[in-house]
Order: sequence, then C-alpha cells, then structure tokens
Amino acid sequence: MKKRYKRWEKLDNTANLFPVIAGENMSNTYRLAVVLKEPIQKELLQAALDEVLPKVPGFRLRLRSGFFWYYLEENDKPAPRVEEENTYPCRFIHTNQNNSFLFRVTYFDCRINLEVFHVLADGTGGMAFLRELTYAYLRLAHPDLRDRVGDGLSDETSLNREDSFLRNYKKASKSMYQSKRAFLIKGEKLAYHGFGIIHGHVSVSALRSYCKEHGVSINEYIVAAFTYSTYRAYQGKISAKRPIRVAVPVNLRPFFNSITTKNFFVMVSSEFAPERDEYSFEEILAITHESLAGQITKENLEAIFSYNVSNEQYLFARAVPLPLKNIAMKLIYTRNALANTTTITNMGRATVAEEYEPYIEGFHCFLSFSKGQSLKCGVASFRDDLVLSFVTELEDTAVQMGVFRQMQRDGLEVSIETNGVFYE
Amino acid sequence: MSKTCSHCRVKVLDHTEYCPLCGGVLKKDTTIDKRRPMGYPDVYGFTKKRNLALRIILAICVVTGFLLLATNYMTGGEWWSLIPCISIAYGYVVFSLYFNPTNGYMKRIIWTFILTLGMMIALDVCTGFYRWSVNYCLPAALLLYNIAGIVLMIVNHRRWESYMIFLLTAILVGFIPLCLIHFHVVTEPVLCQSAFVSSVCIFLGTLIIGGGRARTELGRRFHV
Repeated sequence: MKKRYKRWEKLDNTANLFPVIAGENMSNTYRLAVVLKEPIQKELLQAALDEVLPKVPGFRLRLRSGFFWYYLEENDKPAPRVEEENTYPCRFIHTNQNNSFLFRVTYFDCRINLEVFHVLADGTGGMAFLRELTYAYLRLAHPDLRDRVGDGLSDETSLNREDSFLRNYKKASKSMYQSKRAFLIKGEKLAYHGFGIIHGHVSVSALRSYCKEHGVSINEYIVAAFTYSTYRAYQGKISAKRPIRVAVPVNLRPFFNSITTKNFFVMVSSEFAPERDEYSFEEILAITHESLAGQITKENLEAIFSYNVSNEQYLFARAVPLPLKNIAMKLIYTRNALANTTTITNMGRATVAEEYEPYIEGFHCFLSFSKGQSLKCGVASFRDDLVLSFVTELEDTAVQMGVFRQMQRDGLEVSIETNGVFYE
Repeated sequence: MSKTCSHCRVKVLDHTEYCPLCGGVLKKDTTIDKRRPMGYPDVYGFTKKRNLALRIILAICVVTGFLLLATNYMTGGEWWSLIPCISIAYGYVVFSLYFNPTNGYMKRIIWTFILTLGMMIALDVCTGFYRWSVNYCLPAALLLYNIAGIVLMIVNHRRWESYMIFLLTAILVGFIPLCLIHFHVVTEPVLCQSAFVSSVCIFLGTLIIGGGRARTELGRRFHV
C-alpha cells in the first residue's frame, strides 16, 4: 500500500548545529573510505547503492527547514548518482543537489568514498552504511560470494534511529565546554581553496606495544604526538593563556548501551598549557593521558550532553524562530570553535565479516577542516594497518612532519602518501 | 622501488622526488613496497581554469562599466551610463547565480525575482522615479511568483506540499506593497492589492484542497 504521509524526524541535539554553521567554507562533512584490492566498477557500485539505500531508512532522508527547527524528511527520490572522484574531498553537501540526499558516494581507482553531512549520522552510523555498501558491491562483483553469504543486510548493522541524547539525559547541569581561546594554527593557505591530505600508515601491533609499555591508549598517544609536534613547531606562541587544546569526539554508545545510527557523541578536550620553557614528549604524553582519562567517564560524558539537551528542552528557547536561533547558535559555536586547536577523531578498528576480508585492503577516515581549525586528523585501522589522515588548508606541513618524526623516534615505521597538492 | 626521506625517516609512497613534509630529496632503495599509493584526482588544474574564466568575465564587466561611466562624465549631461551599468551588474550577478552548480532551482528562482525587481526599481529611480517599478513591476512580480508556485506544484506533483512554504512567503512578501501603499510610495494600489489577495486565495485554496497532506506539511514546518 502506498504511504500517504512522508516519515519525518527531528534532528538530534548535536545535529541541530550543523545546518546552521555549514557552508562552502565549513562543510561539516566527513569521509569514510574503504580501499579494495581491485579497481572499482562504477555500474556495480551504483547497483550496490541502489540495492542498499532502500533498506537503510536512516540514510534515505533529506534536510528541510521549518519555522522553528530544521528536520529530516523521508526522501523517496532515486539513489544519488555514483561519480568518479573529481573534486577535493568533503565538499559541502547542498541540500538541493544529489537528489537531496545528505551523503555522496564517489570512487577512485580501488577506493570507495562515502561522504556524509554530519546532520545525518556520526562516524559509527556512517561506517555501518559504508560496510553494507561495500558488502553489496563485493557480492555483485563476485557472484560466488553472493551464493555463499546470501543477500540482505548483515546482522551487525543497526537501523535504529532513536535520539539517544534525549533518552539518556538526566538533568540540567552546568556547561562543561571550554570557551577560552586556544592556540590556533595559522599560515599561508593552499591555492584555490586547496584541500591537503597526508595519510600516514603505521603498524597497529607496533603502536599498541609502545602504548602498552607507556601505559597509555593509542588515542592518547596520537593526541600527545600532535600536541608535542605543535608545541615544537610554534613554541614561542604557545602559553598558558593560549594552550594547545585538542578536541576528541567520544562515541557514547558503549557507555549508554545504544545502537542508534544518529549522532551520539560528545567532545572532550585534552589541554596542554605550558608553565615552563621545555617539555619532553614523555611529559606531554603523561599530561595528555591524565587530561583525557579523567574526562572519559560515564558521569562526565553524561554531564556534558545533559547540559546541551536541557538547553534544547526549554519551551522558551524552542519557540524562538529559526533565523534567530541560527544567529545565537553561530555566536556560541564561534566562541567554542576557537577554544580548540584541532580535532582528532579516532574511528577505531574497522571490522568486516570474514567472507569479505580477503577483498579489502584498508579503511581510512577524515573530516573537513573548520573555523579556527585549519588542520584536523582522522584515525582508522584495519587489521595491522593504522591510518592517520591529516587534512589541512595550509601549505605548511610542520605539524604533520613532527608527528611522523616522533613516531619514527619511538621506533614505529611510517609510510606516507598525499593527495598531491603539496607538490603544486 | 621504495623511496625514503632521510630527514623524516618515513617512506613516501607518492610518485615524487622530494618529501612532502620537509622538502628533502628522497633516497631510492632497492626494496619493493608492498603498499601502492591510493591516488587522488588532479583537482588543482580544473579549479584554476574555472576561476580564470570567471575572473575574465568579471574583468570585462568592470572595465566596460568604468568606460561607460568615464565617457558619461567627460561628455556631461544626464547620467545615462547608470542604465547600462545597472544592467551589466544585473547580468553578471544572474550569470553567477546560474553558473554556480551548487545553487538549487528554488534559490535561483527566488533570487531571480529579487534581483530583477531590484534592477527595475534602480532603473526607475535613475530615470526620475515615475513609480512604474512599484506600481506595476512589484505586483506583477508577486503574481508571477504565485504562478511559479502553482507550476512547481504541478510539475513536481509527487511532492507538491513542499511548495506550501513558497506560497506562504508570497503572502508575507505581499505585505511590502501594502505598506508602500500606506506610505504613498505606491500611487496606483489596485494591482498591489490584487496581488496580495491572489496570494492569500492561492494559499488557502491549496491548504483546503490539499487536506491532510497540506496540514501535515505545515505541522512539520512549524513544529516547536
């Protein structure tokens, strides 16, 4: 039976911000990519997308603006066209293009790229969709695989679209976010709105054994390497007043037993405010560990998002027309955005079903740079290959160089590759 | 063949002779890399050409406008050059609006209305403000806007209800000519009043005939 009305859903607490601040210069789009061991065939990838999209309602949505709020509405248009990658990554996803879908699928050589407007889902939701798309593609490219595993979505995928922020928030609490300005990396920008990417490959097992030896997590090590590298590159400009603050998104699902595909994360920050002239890497590693470990507790994470959700719940605030809300949200965002030097997001270890593993070379992820944060980093790993993807709008690569040199000093072998803009 | 930067001590997988991190020349060795670079398209060259084309068009417009103004200034008399200058500016902005592939059709339609109306009023003011722009062009634009809304609903009939907001904005914009009548800027009010009344009628008609779908659409748009 034909449905009479279109399904629609409210935006989650985090997603409310993205349509307000997103634009050509700050797309709020992230990329998840899978590299296969074979070149991608466009027709098959399109067929895979046509097959998967109708089964995933959480991605079959378009963004609409109401009088008081933005909202997501069911999109019954055909799946967006798959194209060969021919632009810089993470461009703004215009709501009136791409058949109004809030994600795009491109390919290049052996790589499938999924770019998602953050309003739709966070990295966990995006990764589930990319995995299903890859499975469907591989089943089409290798019919014997289809015979073995059958069609349909895998049992590890969730279609849940609950607003886990609303479900789990407890009571109003005070703001936990830093709003004091941090040190911001600035410099000459790449020509023609260039988008620089440097991928660094490191062995997971080697990195894990180093971290175990020093009693820190992989994430803390990467944040510390970034902090130390920034500190060395801009030593004279960093002070207790302008500390290096690295924002780290934390996936809340494991803490609150959620399987939602909507956004469900909060940001915590690692802060390094130097009080003397010289710091060694080991000292910065210890500071980073202390700073992050103390914040990633269920109580603290709950307090962070409860503050945001409780603000959204006030009827007075809800009844403010959208254009006025936009102005207020932009102002608050600008203040908070300048409070962080960068964002380092770690997707963790990507896993795929055993049957598909022989066809897959690796995964990587990154997000677009944003106001005040000209350099960001995404981390993902697959099997023994951890990929750090630095994206930047700056010509200078001193920070990236410092991170990789530090890794090399710590006995880790690093291979790098770029998207070529640094050679122009 | 593998390439290593002897300063950074990292392997570089790109097809290049120098390190993208420090600029040092890479050292080749005989070991074979198991990993091959993922590769990215050459975006730089395309962007460069497109930006150059846009800058050339802008330069032609600016220079032409400047020459017209200069000629007018030197020959004296009425400021006739303002008319072609306004037209050139209008042409360039509309061209940019349509040239940019990221602009959707709704944005193009709405901005074409606003820009055209703006140009008409500017031309009217430059030629002595005989009020033809506000007396006739403004209500005509409103009527056309309503007709565009109906055409869009027919063409995109599967999602006709999404244009309810388009029609609602016509009513809100319709208050502008009513205010202009009140302040005696508009001297012939019949057309303006007709345009407003037609906006209200079209919206109410759509709301009543549209039934549940129209009401649900408004419910979505106005959810608090």
